[in-house]
Amino acid sequence: MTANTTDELLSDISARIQLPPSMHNVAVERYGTVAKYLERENSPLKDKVIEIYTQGSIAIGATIKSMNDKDDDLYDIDLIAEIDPSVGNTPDDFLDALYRSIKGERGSRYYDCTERQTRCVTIQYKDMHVDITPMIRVSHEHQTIARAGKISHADPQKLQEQDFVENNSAGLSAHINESMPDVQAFSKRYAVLTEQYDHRFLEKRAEIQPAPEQEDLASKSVTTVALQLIKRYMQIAWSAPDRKDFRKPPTVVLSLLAAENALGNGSLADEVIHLSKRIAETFDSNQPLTVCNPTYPKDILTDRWPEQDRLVEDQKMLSDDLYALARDIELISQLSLKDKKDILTKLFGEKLTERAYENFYERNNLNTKQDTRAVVPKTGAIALVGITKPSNSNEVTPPKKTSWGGFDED
Amino acid sequence: MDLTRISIEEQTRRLHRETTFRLVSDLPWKTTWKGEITPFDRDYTISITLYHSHRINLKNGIIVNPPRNPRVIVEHPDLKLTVQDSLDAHFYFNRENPRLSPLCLYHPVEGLQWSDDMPMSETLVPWIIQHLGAYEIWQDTGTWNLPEKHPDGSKDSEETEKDEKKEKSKDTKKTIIPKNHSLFYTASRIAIVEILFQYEQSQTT
Repeated sequence: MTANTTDELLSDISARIQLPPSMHNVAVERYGTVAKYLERENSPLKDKVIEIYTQGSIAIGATIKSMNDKDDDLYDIDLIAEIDPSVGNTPDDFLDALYRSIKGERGSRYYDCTERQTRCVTIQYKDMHVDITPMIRVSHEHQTIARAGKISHADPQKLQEQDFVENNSAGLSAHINESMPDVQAFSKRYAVLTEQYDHRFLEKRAEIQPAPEQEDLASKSVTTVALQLIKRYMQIAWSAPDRKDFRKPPTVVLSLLAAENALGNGSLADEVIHLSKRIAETFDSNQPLTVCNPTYPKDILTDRWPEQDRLVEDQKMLSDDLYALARDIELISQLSLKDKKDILTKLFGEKLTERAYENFYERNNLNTKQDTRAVVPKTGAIALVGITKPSNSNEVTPPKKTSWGGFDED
Repeated sequence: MDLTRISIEEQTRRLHRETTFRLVSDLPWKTTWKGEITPFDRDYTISITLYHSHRINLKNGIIVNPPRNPRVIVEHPDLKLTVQDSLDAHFYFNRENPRLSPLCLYHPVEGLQWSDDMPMSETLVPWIIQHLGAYEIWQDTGTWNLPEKHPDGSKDSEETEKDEKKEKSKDTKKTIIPKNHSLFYTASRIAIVEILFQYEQSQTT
């Protein structure tokens, strides 16, 4: 089979929103530094932090760039900090202790860039938001299920409503990672593309060290990449002014549904279409839907979505959006490059699509005046270099000639 | 490349084996094949018509048609070509019916032209794929990404210009290209018919 243009372009778009391997490395270094900082002499959490580990998108390799006006490279990284239960009693106690421990004293390293949220503490770097969620493990169940525990929910303005929420994000990440299909042919070629983008990223950010080769980064599943494209599409859809009062569906729910409904035939376009339809069908219901963490059913993944007063309407909105995404990807698979670009721009954003096209042209030598370009007469296609599929052995490079013009006089 | 003429049967056999093109009509004066080209994802139905050299005996004369360049038409979809599109994207614009504007695959005088000793499956068909691929990229970027030359001398590609400079430096004879080369060919055909008619007349008297 010849490399498919839509798959190639979708790969280029997704590669541009990935957390570059070198930034992944930076994230790991940073959370190591935070862990050490929490253990400093005058820290309220000295000897009280049992473990810090990644959760959410970074734990399943599905982190994507945040939407921002300047199109800066900005990523959200989520961590769990397991804390000794003796630190406090109420949900607010644990959040507050973590907040004070990270913020430190005036003039200290995180003082000006630490914010407390309802469930986590955020460290704002110029290129990264690191959300650290405190967790305690107290019940018998917590002791028997690896990394199950409860996290705090405490809005400082509404402390009367504070509560603990059951959680096992580590178990969920492991479940999702195990469920993602392993299509080696796709993953190996996609890793080449990711590496190319990482080189470009490093050219812009000279202070960052290249990431050491990591096996887990080099084997991204086609389903994970499709999930990232769906997440990007939702970023765009939910950035519309008429949706500013709506809460975005939790991406953890999409991640779980993607993993459990994976197609895994190796085609990125097919995967996006398939997942969009399956997730849309799941939410195409007149009843409010509850999605639980299969590794720990007390962990309700839909606990903050939809909003209580809109329930079914929010679900319907998500469902309609994903049906529309599936239809558009089906449609672009038959369109010319220009018509395809118009739709991809609408789905994933103008700059991202423009740059993906530039890279697609460059990789395939389509941006130069050369007539030594190989073709595949058997299928009538231009022979693409092929990130998503192997190059074709039926390629032919025709003899050189020059395009001419004029009027038809025959 | 084989320098002997490749028969229509052999061309058809190779097209069938190596491309999507199939024979749709084979007449004494022309043969037509149709096939599907998908340079990227969009499908194009293409016809290639080859006009054979032939003569028609009339009561008072003979019409002789010399061989002509193969005519390559996009049958579907309708590209809705304008004159400007045709100039930029290298079609011979058909004023009466723009849908029937043939692709200008190669320069009629300079460089390589197709001839019937060449297998179409290895020359014409790959050139059509390249041409329609360039057409889609031109639609997106406004730039023609194959070496090009225009009848009025505008938009010559760098490569072609370099070749010309080389030619000049060798002080070789410069080829004069008539501005309207199609008219030139039509005039040639009329002249040939006239010469043959006079020849036939002299033989009978």
